[in-house]
Amino acid sequence: MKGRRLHKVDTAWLLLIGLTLAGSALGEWRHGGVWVVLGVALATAFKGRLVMDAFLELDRTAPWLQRTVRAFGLLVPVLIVVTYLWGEELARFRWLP
Amino acid sequence: MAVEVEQSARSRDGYPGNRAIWVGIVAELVEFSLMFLVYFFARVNHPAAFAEGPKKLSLAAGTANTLIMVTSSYLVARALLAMRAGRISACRHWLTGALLVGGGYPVVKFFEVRWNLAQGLTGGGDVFQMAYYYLTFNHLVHVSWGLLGLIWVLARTGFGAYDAQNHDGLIAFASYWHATDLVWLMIFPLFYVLP
Repeated sequence: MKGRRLHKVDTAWLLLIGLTLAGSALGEWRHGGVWVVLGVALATAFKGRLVMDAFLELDRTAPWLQRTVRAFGLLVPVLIVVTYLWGEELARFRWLP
Repeated sequence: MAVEVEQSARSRDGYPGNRAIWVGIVAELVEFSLMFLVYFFARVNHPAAFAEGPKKLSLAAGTANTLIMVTSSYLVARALLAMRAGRISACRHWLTGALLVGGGYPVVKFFEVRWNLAQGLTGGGDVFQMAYYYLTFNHLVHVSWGLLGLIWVLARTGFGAYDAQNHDGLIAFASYWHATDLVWLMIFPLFYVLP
């Protein structure tokens, strides 16, 4: 019997489900550390990229839209890493009562 | 040819669906970007509250809503592929599935908030709780609009308003729904996963 090939949206969905469950397992584990934080940031960036490419079909949009949406997808992962590594230094710039 | 059918006039000008929906999507992304900046500003100033915060929330509810969002988004992507291939009936079925799955989001959110309140987690709590309620309720509002849009495109598909060549309304809705999914994927680790 000829096997049915997965479309890119099928593959993206399966990866998103797998990464979500892996992220939840990490959340349940509740351990800090640079590798855990890096892992969460990378998984978040990758999941965002999957949605942009496979579901949102960003390659069909205008270049400025592609740049805007891709920048949005990087904002949280980058800030996760930056605030983990330099959170104390950043807090010194401004104090929130 | 299928590929030619996929390239509607709207896609060729760089704004799949219509320009108005992309104004809305960019506004949504800017709005949430600003809220994320506020979140991280609060996080570096109150590390203890943000380290303890995720332990108080229901990880199961956050995970369930993430699975709901990505699955509903996937079903909408499938519906669009079916429409492009001229399989209108299949498109209707995928959209119905997306609505049934997506409808689970506010239901899970309702039980999550009820559980939160029973645990004493209110919007008037610490800075983590305030950030959590502000961001997730804002997202719930966007999901609610999306669900209304989903009902609309499902009805339009049912009444035969779209075909393989003309379905810009469906593309516009799909773009909005995927963007709302993207926003949730950014919110989820901030409140439920990040140690």
